[in-house]
Amino acid sequence: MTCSRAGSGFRTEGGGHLGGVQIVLSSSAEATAESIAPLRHATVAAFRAAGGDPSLSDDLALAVSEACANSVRHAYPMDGDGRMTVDTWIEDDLFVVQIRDHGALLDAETREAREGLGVDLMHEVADADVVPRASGGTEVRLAFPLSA
Amino acid sequence: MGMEDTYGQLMVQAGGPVSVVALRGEHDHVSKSQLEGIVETLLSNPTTRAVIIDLSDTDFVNLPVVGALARATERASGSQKHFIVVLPEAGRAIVHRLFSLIEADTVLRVVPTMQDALHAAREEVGG
Repeated sequence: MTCSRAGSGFRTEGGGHLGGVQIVLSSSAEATAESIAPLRHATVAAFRAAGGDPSLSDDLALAVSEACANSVRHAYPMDGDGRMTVDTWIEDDLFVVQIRDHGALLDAETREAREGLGVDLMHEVADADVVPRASGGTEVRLAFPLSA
Repeated sequence: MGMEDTYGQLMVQAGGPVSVVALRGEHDHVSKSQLEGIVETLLSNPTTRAVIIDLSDTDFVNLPVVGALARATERASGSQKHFIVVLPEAGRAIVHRLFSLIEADTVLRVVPTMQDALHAAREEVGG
């Protein structure tokens, strides 16, 4: 499956295996506000296609939205042409979502701003990890049970 | 796959002491600035006494949009004006879920019907 969306450089591919993990979806888009909704929709659609409980879809949508919004707000302060990537896979009855940006290493002030209410919300609805990447940028990993 | 454009619309009813802004569809960073601009324009108008935000037909809002509504509530309060949010029980579950998670009703005045909002606004503006 491949989809494209004019204006945001939105690309998504589905299916495949990597190291015994079933990759459900791999999406990439420009880190702009316009990209957040398509990434959110694609992730929720992948969750449902994987047999995810529909009652968990709202929490998934809210968490993915906040993770992507953080990338848009904080990852590329100097230039706006960076990208963010959303990968999803199934692991031990969990639907795992990984949101990565490739921005600059964050200073303490920006990191504090980034770890605000949106991160609290992610922790509230999912098993969430927000970690800086050694090469710069941030990786958010969200794990949702496939069944409630 | 849900790739269609689902950007929200902002429908404004203004012209009297009570103005209504209806958020239809999905609202996030894309429409937040426009919403903030509309609300600021309404609150800056000396004839406006109350602004009602109608979430009856809202499919999605994110945290920054709720933050914008919270700031508008403070702004209105500072101007002795009223800012009321309508979120019906039959509204979208995802909007209720977000409001519940962040306890939005502690920073917003939320009522379940437009009738309630209009009644409150008219009482407060002495209409």
